[in-house]
Amino acid sequence: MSFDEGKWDTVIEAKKHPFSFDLNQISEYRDLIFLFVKRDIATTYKQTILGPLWYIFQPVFSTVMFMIVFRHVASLGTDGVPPVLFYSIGTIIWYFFSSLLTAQAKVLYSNKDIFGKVYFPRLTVPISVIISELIKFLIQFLLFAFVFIFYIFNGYSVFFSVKLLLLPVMVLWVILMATGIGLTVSSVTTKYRDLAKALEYFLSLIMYVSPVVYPLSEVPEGFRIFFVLNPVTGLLECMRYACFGAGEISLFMILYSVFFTLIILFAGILLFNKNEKEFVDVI
Amino acid sequence: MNDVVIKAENIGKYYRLGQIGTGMFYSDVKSWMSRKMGREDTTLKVGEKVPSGDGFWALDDISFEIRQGDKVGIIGKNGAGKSTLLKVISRVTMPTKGRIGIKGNVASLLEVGTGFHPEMTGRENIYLNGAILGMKRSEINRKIDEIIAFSEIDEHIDTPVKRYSSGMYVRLAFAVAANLDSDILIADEVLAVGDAEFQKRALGKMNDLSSSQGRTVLFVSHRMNAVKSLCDRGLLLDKGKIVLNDSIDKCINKYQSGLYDTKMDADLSHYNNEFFDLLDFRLIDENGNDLSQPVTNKCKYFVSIKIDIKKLHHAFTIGYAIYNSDGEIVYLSYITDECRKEENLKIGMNHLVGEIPERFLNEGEYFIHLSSSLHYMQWIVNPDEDSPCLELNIQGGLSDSPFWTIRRPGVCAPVLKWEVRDK
Repeated sequence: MSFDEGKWDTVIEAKKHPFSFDLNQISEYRDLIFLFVKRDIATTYKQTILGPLWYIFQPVFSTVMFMIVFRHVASLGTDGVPPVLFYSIGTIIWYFFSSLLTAQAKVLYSNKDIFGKVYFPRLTVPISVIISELIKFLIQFLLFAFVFIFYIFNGYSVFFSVKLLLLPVMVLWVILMATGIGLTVSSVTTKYRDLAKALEYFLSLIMYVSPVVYPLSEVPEGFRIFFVLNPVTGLLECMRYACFGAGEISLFMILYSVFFTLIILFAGILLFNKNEKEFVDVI
Repeated sequence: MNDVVIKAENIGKYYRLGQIGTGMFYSDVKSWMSRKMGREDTTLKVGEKVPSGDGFWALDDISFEIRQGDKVGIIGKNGAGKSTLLKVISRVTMPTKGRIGIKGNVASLLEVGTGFHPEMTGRENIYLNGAILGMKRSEINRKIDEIIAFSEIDEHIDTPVKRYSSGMYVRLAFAVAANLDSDILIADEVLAVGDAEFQKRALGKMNDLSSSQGRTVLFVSHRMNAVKSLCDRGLLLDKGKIVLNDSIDKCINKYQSGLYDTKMDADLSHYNNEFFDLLDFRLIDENGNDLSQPVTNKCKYFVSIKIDIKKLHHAFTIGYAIYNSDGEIVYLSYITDECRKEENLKIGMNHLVGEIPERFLNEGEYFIHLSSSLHYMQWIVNPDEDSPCLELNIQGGLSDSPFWTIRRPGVCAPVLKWEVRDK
């Protein structure tokens, strides 16, 4: 009997192309993405005292703590940027990066029950994770923007330039890097469960070896090369450069970080696409 | 002749048994390294050659066609590959080989309430669950009243579902699923939830759904009555292969006759284990002869088990489980139920005879599975899995009363004592 190629709406085959993404299907499922986002946002703070106010409190508390510890106890410089602004943008970006990464790293494992029972384009889940984390980030960034404007009215002179237009690009950069690493980890986690635990631990350590609470210029010359090899460094320094025009950036640093982002994103999506079908049988 | 809407070609699904890899990165790397360097793999047990790639074909070279409007019941024993087949068609898991062409959109209900979030209200969950199943928001907007009405929880619809009773939860979940518009509906045992009244309603709804609009239905269930009432075609699977692809009645007959017998003439050594060899398993009458079926409800019959015991254990027990034709256990009975001492069983040949009470079971077909275990410790022969099975067919002899001669509803039909008391 012949298979009548072309007659079918869907063909299920043993092998699929590693880059078959059914992009038009994803747009068919945009309502689902929206509902996933709504679920994530609405349920995170159910049965909590402060509720969504946590979005605001988190960066405020962190900024205050970092100011006390790193500015006043450790006396680290801030590249001439007012400490409040310096620490708040650092925490907001870092928090965005690390929580997006952690969320993506759990994508396959925490959705295994749904994935094992219903078919829908799996990429909808990481996409919805990006959107919900982005919303949290934008709320916090808005807070930062208010403080920034307040400082400008009080005499902090920052020369506005086209650099501020780079901000959306920087945000995209954070998203791509965190998603790339996250999806890679997520795929490996289906086989080695402890990687998720390790990730949380290492993320908390990596914060201290990334210029989150201090600028790269404070790092002793001899160590600096190791910091530059950390792809997050380029990202953070560029972000502050875009906001304040301060910081130390080099072409190598940017290219290296961008290159890393593209590679890891490629790997992450490839692995995710390969694993989304197979892991149901493994887990 | 209607159009073919599902065409499966040589579908195979291979599962590896046990863990894939060792589950530990260190060991995997070590194993990989030693294989690369041509040395013996240190993570393997002595004598093992390759990493234990033992597996089985859950689906083995299956090909079939389903035409538009067919209601196909997929039946077979546990482990025959029914659910795997549905999973492959629903695109939840990939086939290892072969391909399937599908025309039209598919809604698959391998479970009700997939993706329900306990913190969200019933209404919010309708939207979420509906979207997961492939509905658009506008579609749900159109149907929400119907869904709420069918679920019968209108006043609690804005309460988080974590406060729902399990019955409400299931009703809501089914209501969403039942209102899916699709060309092809795939359902796996969705009726095995909820109370009897709900199941009846769900089955009715499934009937409505499938009879209208010429929709194609694929349905897996152990309840032969449900399958019979819903489906017109059957696909009988055994050990991953299609045994019969014919009308549903023929499939059910084949399923029930082919797999069950009054006595086990087949080779029973398959069931031998470290505790005993199974020599014989059959139904007998009062005189010890093979039972001739069907039997009336009025005569005595017994389950006869002959085993050669190799090892005694204080927790050892053996008996049988009796299932009705819906697949429900009517009761379990074990030799140890009467507080017998284990000394009664001895090493060597034992002939055990268990009585099936007369005038207790209702008219109908029953399946008697051997069951043996170390009590609270482990299964030796699990009646729910691979276990020898006898068929018992009871007809007539329900009572001596002229008021009760034909089958009444109910799992049991005991004739019980009544007395008329003064005052």
